[in-house]
Amino acid sequence: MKKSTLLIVAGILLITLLLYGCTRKEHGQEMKPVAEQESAMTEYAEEVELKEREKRVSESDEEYSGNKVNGVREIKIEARQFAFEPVTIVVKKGERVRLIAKSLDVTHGLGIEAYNIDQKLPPGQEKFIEFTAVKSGKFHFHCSVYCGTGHGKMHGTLIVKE
Amino acid sequence: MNIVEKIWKTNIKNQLILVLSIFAAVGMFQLGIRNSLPQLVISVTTAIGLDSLIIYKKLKKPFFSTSALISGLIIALALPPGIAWHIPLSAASIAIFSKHTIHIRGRHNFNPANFGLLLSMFIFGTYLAWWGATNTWLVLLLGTLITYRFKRIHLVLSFFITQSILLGTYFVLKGEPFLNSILMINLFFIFVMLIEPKTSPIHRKGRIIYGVLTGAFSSVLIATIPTLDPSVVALALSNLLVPVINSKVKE
Ligand SMILES: [Cu+2]
Repeated sequence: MKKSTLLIVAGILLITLLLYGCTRKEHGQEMKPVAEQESAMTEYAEEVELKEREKRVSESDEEYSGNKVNGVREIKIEARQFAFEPVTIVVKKGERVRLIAKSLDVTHGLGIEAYNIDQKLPPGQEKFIEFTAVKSGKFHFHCSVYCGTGHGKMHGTLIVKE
Repeated sequence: MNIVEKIWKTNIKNQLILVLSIFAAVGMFQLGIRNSLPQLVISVTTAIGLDSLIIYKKLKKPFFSTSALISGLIIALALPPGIAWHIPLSAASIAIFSKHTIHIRGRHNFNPANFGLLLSMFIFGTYLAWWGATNTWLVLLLGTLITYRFKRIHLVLSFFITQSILLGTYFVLKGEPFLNSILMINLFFIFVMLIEPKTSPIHRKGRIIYGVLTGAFSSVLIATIPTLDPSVVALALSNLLVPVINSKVKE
């Protein structure tokens, strides 16, 4: 009798927390507003400005992480006890991605299950992880080397936008 | 009798299930349902289904295996979030099969969840994320409570002290702070897996030796092969020595 009561309590608690988890808003990547200076310009100058801005954005794509170098999106990522920096990486579907990862203290690792990636990161060494972002969505990445008490919370999100 | 008192006085296994469910819920909240729920469901149902079936065949009576539920939860909480479905399925199956097949001196020798995780590390090359411990303080608090209830504080302490001293000394020799060794202790592992009663020595003194040995194995592994998960390997090694400890230490 006691056994079943406890199991029911545990079940209810789990379901409540589950529902709470489901309804929680995922905090996505906030887009940085492009700061624009308002100034008196001639129509012509305004047009040139606009074209230049379009060009600039298509090259650096502010909504995405890192920079495009020779057609490959390069993103630097640092690992330390117990966090990744940045914690969210945003790339575009279909593009070639090169993560330049480095650990600042002990051995960590970068594991992205959805992309079958597991790169070990010995301290101080830059490691390159290349892949093509073929699947769109939000993917979890986790530290793939046991690095201490906070290893369980050492994770981040890879967002592949359509 | 209020609810806290009721939970405190109930069966230990159910308390452990409650604690693991809380860890799971907190982890799910942190990582998102999509990354955590599938492996929990797969691991738990595989473990319970298989264990209950095997026991049913032996006893010819319907049986619900709560220890399989515990193994299933531990496996899911250690494997990386969002892992492919076949790995929790295999790890849980290995855990249950090992429990029913690997016997020396009448007991099963390997902690089932630990053995399942260990083999899946070697077969699939998977790493362990230990996301049951997304909240360190919660694990420390509930872990201490459950260890107290299991009357295994001495076992956890013997591991804790051994690893702190050995690894701390190693760190000092390398020019790092001594206290970094405490930061390397896997709390989820020591409070949930190390204390497992059936695969640890029968007598108190034996359990202290077992804790010391596991702490020593773990320290050596951390110092020599940092990319290998130290806890599961260390525990499997100590599990192998339990029959020897039981035959030598009788108090
Ligand atoms: Cu790490």
